[in-house]
Amino acid sequence: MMNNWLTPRALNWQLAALWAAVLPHLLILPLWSTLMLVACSGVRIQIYRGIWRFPPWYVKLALLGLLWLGLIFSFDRDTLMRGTVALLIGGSAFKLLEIHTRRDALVIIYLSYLLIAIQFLFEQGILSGLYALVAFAVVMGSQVALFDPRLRAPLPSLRNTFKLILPALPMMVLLFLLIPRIGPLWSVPLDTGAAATGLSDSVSPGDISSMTRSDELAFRAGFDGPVPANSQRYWRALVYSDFDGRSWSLSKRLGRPLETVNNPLGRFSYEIIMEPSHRPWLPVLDVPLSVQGADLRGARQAVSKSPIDKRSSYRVTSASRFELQSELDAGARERNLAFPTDQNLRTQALALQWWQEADADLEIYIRRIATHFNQSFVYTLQPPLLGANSVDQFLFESQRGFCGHFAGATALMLRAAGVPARLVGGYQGGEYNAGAGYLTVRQWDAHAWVEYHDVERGWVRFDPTAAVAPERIEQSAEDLFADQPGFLADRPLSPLRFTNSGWLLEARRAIDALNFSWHRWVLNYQNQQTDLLRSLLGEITPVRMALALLIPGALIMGFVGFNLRPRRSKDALIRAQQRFERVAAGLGYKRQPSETLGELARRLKTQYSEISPALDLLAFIEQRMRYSPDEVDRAELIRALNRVAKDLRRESMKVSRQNALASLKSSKERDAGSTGR
Amino acid sequence: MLFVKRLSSLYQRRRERWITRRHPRVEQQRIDKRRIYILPTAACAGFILLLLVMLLLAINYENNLIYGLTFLLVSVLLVSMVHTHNNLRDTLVSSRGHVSVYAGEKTRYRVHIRAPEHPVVGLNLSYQGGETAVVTLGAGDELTVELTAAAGQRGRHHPGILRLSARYPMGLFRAWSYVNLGQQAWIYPKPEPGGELPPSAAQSDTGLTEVVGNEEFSGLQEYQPGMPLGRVAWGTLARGLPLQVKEFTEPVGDSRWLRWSFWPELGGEERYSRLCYWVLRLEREGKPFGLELPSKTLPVASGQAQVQAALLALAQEGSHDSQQRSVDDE
Repeated sequence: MMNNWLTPRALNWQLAALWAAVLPHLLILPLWSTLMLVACSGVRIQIYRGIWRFPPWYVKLALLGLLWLGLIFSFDRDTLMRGTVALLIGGSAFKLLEIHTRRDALVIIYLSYLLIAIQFLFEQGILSGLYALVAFAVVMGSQVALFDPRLRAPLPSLRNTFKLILPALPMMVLLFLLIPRIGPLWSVPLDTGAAATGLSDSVSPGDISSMTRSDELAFRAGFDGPVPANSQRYWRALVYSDFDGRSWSLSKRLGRPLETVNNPLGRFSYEIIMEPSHRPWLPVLDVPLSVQGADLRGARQAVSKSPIDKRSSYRVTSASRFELQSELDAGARERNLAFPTDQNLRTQALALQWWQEADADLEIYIRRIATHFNQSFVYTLQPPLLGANSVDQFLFESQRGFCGHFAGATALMLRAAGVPARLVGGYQGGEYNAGAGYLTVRQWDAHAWVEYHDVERGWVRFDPTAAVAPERIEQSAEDLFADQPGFLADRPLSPLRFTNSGWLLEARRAIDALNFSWHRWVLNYQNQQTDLLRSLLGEITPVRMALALLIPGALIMGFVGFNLRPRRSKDALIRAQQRFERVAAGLGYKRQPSETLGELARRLKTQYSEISPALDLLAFIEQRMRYSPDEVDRAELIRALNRVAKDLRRESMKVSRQNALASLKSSKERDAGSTGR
Repeated sequence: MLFVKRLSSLYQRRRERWITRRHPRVEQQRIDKRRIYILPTAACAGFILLLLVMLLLAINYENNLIYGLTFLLVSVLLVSMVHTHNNLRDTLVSSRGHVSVYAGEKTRYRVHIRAPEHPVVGLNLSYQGGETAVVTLGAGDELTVELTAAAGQRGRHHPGILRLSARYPMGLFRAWSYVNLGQQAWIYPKPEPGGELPPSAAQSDTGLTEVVGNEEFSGLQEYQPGMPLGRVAWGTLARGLPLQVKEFTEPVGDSRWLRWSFWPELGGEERYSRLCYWVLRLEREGKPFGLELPSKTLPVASGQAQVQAALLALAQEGSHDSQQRSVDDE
């Protein structure tokens, strides 16, 4: 088609659209993709200014080769998705060099839409959602500019874009709420670029000299009922059973049997929205009875089917009062008693000594350990490095450490005394957001404690850190560590450093609540959809769903059409003129396409001579307006038009009344005639 | 192959006939909402493909934000459909005559567009076989557009149905409408140079008075529109005087007659072409002439009006209503 060529303004729009869509991607892609886009945009601008010509085919081929090399060197199988994005961006950049017609421009615009969508695979915060909306408006504006040949008028085009977007937003909300979500059709890869944070596969306290704690969010938990007390909030995630003398690690042996829970009482349910941890373990509260979308494995670990690579949520039901099976099979017993006997000899000796002094009474023994810790030990985030026999060194020399030290030493002492024991890693506590009714657990809440096996009660939780720093359990980690040098050491400017009190805290909590709602109602809407729809529609049937979609949808579309309906002109002169024409047409004097108002008035005068002064005036003013518009007030013409319209209407009524009288008279005469006959 | 071609041409003819039947001839037409057809375009197919890709991403990554963006695009698609339909609505189209052309040239017609109380953006106007004109009008604006249509033979020409279409605002839908303005034009014969006129003396009446003619320069006269440009006195214009034409005197007897009977060796259309050429040549030379055709005779005269009348007579000659007043002769 001939009219397929682009206006220069449309080209500017396209550059803006592509950059808006691509900008967030460029921040995480290698530098060469930015350079490529800058270069291609520059060439495009030069072509547009008429300085350069479109590049020949071999230049394009060379560029394609460069892109291919870049993709091969920068990306591998783990970063397949980013590589795809880089490929898409490269493709759009090259397309910039060969935009000739509208169709070429549409390719870029469609790619921009797609790039905005793909950005959501990497980032799903509120801000990135808002940014995407802005970028979307720009891309749409560029599409509208393609089909709007009005040059040098960016504002009308922008306004028309908003006229399209604004009614589309309620429609989008409607579709979002009602369209049922289905599970993935096939499994898809997602980049695991970020390093795993928080919990790790092993704990070796002696190797850490400085424990930095980050304020990064670990997960949020919303409770259906009351929130458990802080001292009960032990979120278990990992169980470390293997001890090599220095570090505790996850058991290599799989298929540990799950302990049977007898008589669970005080059930409570909660929903956890987990941040990406890139690991499959899910924190749960004791004692977990069921976890939606995950398996409960041995040692009451909840394991999801695949690593948590994106924010996801799951529901857990736990019981607050319970009895665990008390038997321990031989294999598990052996595993939870094993330790290298040639290391940490002083600890072993002390354990045996205390065990004998306690008369093999587990309770007294445990209390003794706790008392010992409470006497001279210091809880710190910056413990000294420990050499070989790290537990000996901790217990008898440094006596300074964090939860990993205390838990590890306690577990070893229990094992040395012949009590099966293991380390549990997870989170403790969490900040309660009263306004929104949920708990926020951050990485600094990471914690480790001990579980030992009691012959009567089964596995029992014991937290030795509570003995040395009970406030660690009673207060939040934030309140406790704020003075410690290691706290937030990696985030010197973290807002959490300054927002410990007052309105800043309130504001922080409000923002956090907003984020929580965003995650719950937008990002994980599929979990709420059924409940919401049931509460709205009563019962979910295909008919009700269709009606719920069609009725508001029709209302919105009707509103769009109503908004675009032909409106009465705002110009009083045009309105007066239309009224005059309407009245004249009603009397059989339709204004001809080439007829001036004056001519129409003269034509009317032949029949309606009674109002000829008004008609003459109209013709005169109209003529004067044509030839010397400055001398005539528009108001004068409007007045003349209105007056003529009014007079005409009166005349026509008079005429019709006379006609009616005449017909009445003639019919009377006819009647008279007929009776006379 | 031939069969397919014939079938498609048959379909085309049928379609044209159907459209013509559905759209009776009018002087002026308001494109109301019942007259607007609307269908998705190829760009819409691409858009839907994009939506499917995005939906697949949303489903497989269980990403509600991508769901949201997809739904937003679906909504925009629907809203843009209403806008596309509305863009064309209530536009007023009327005929404004034609521009006369010679056979073999593309015919040209003038169409007047008036926008309603909203702007009409990117309106494409075309006649079959002609080029597409794209116009954009602000609210209430008016514009006369000259449209080309297919080239025609000497005689009367109908451009057929006027097509209006627009894809604004997003190019995802195309709204269009047909208007039968009943426009028509007389196509002049194509001028073919050649032949010689019999000497003027042989055909003259006895001329005694001198009239404005060709032979002897008699003075300058102020230029009036329609005077032959060949006689403009460019020299006086260059001296800063108003536009003037040179005047010559010539005996009346020197006027020429162009007769149908001059070139019996030529076929009908060729004879019209030859006569057309001589009409134009005599006009260029500024000589008065008369025209004698089998069904019509124009007395000797000169000037633009005579030329127009002669060309029109040449165009109308032979057509069944050549005696009638020409339509659209404005």
